[in-house]
Amino acid sequence: MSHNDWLAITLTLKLAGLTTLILLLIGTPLAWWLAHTRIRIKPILEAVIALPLVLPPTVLGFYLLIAFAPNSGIAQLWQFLTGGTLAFSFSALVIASVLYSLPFVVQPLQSGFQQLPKPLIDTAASLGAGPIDRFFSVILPLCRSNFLVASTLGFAHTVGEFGVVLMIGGNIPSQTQVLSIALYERVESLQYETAHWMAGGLIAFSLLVLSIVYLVNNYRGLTSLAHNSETAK
Amino acid sequence: MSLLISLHLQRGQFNLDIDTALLTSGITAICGPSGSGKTTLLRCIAGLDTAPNGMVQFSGQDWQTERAVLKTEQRGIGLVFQDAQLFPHLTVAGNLDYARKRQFNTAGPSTAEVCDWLHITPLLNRAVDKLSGGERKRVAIARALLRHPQLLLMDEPLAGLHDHAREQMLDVLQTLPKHLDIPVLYVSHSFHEISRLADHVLLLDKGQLIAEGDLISLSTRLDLPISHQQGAGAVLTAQLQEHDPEYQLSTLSIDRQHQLSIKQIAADHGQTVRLFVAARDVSICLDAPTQSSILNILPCTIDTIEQQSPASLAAQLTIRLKLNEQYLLAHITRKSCDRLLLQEGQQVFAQIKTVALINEYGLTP
Repeated sequence: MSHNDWLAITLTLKLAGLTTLILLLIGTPLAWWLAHTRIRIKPILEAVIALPLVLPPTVLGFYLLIAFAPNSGIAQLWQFLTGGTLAFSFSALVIASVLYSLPFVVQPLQSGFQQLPKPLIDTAASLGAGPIDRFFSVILPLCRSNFLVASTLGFAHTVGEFGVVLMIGGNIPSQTQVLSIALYERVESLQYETAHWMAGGLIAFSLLVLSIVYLVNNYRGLTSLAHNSETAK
Repeated sequence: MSLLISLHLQRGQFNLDIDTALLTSGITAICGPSGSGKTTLLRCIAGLDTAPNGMVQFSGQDWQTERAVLKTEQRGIGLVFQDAQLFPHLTVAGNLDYARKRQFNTAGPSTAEVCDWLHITPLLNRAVDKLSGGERKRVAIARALLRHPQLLLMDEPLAGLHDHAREQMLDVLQTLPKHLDIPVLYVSHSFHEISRLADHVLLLDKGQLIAEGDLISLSTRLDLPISHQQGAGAVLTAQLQEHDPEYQLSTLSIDRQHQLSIKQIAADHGQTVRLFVAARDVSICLDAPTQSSILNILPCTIDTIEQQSPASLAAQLTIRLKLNEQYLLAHITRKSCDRLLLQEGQQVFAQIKTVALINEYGLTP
């Protein structure tokens, strides 16, 4: 494997890691709000968040390409704030990945928050725990499997994205050339040995991640919570 | 300590309208049928629900005013829910520590003391899903106490327990005021629980406060629904007069003319105890029966015969009988009442089949 191949791998991990972190920071309050709001347009908001699940990635990529074009308002605001350009940059990939993987993080968290018994949260409040304290002492541990699923899916889905990156990122080594794009390029240029390493590696990685998720989910997760509320009756 | 409440809340068909000032000490019961607003009232006091424009003030602290609502976590309360609500990701000890780390008052009982009172020391290392229903409730109460709250709120804490476990829990709860100097608000629909625990009672019906007072006088008020329901009866206080070791009986004196014999109890001479006489265990005779197996036959005066509206032809009547200072209730058939020509003011004899000792813990006579 060449230097560029390794660059593609580290760039992919960096992109997926950063995206997952941002998604957890944005997705947690968003999922909490969605789980508890009674706002009328909630189904529409949920549909918007779920859009990346059904749309071809090129659709999102196309609109982002337009939004990130140097003469657009978003790109100019970005330039004003950071001094850099957005188009074909790593930052653009992060923004795109956050939007693209949002449902994979929000949905597991939302379902976890919805299953959380309200009286347990009330009890924590009565015992003197404020909102932040309640989140870390009760909500996070009880929804830990949801957080695990959300972060793994968010990470793995970002690793697996291709269409959006192709549309807005191009193929600049160490800037925007992620693994899936690099693989495509190797195949195009008939470097099948490298392509095998990348493809096989991605399969092994994805299998490992998903196995861990299913393993943890079967043994822990909300099963203990469900059991607990049953014995309480 | 005082609790001032002014709450007005409308939710669909349900209206909560409560204005009261409570001088809270010991256990105050909030009692009423299901749907009467007991739990809503408790949740408003806890700050979990908010009645718009309401007012809650506890011992000089504003918990809710028209302008501001103090958050639940800042009210310094202990709360025990119906179904314990233990944290499933923590052990029993972890649940107790959760409260201890966030205690409101620094002064208060230690974990060891609380575990001892509630008999949960052997459970400390258990996972909470390995506890029985009664154990879960005891841990929940211990957790609330370790918060060192300034007010303890309990919402039907014995709901869902079978009779034996319930009696055990009542024994434990009865001893709490001995250990703790904090007021307790105890929500229950069970007169039995209340008669064993509470000194002061708030009676709710359909969101309204229909009566408030000490348990002894409320238990025999015929204008209240509690005197007519199945388990109705009179709560009395009496002093221990003497023990009869030969027959294993104790004599209790209600006043100078009225004594009761009950199965020997562990109380000292002159000690005040609280008794419960169920209305269905009291029958009325015109003359003193001389040859009866029933030991407790008390002369008394018919104070009130419950007036039935003409349309209602119920089989059973409730009669209030006056001893000197205290009252008994009797549930008898309307037929017996007519046959004996019972009238208010008449001198009769009450035959009491069973007298239950409620408790012997320093209650105001």
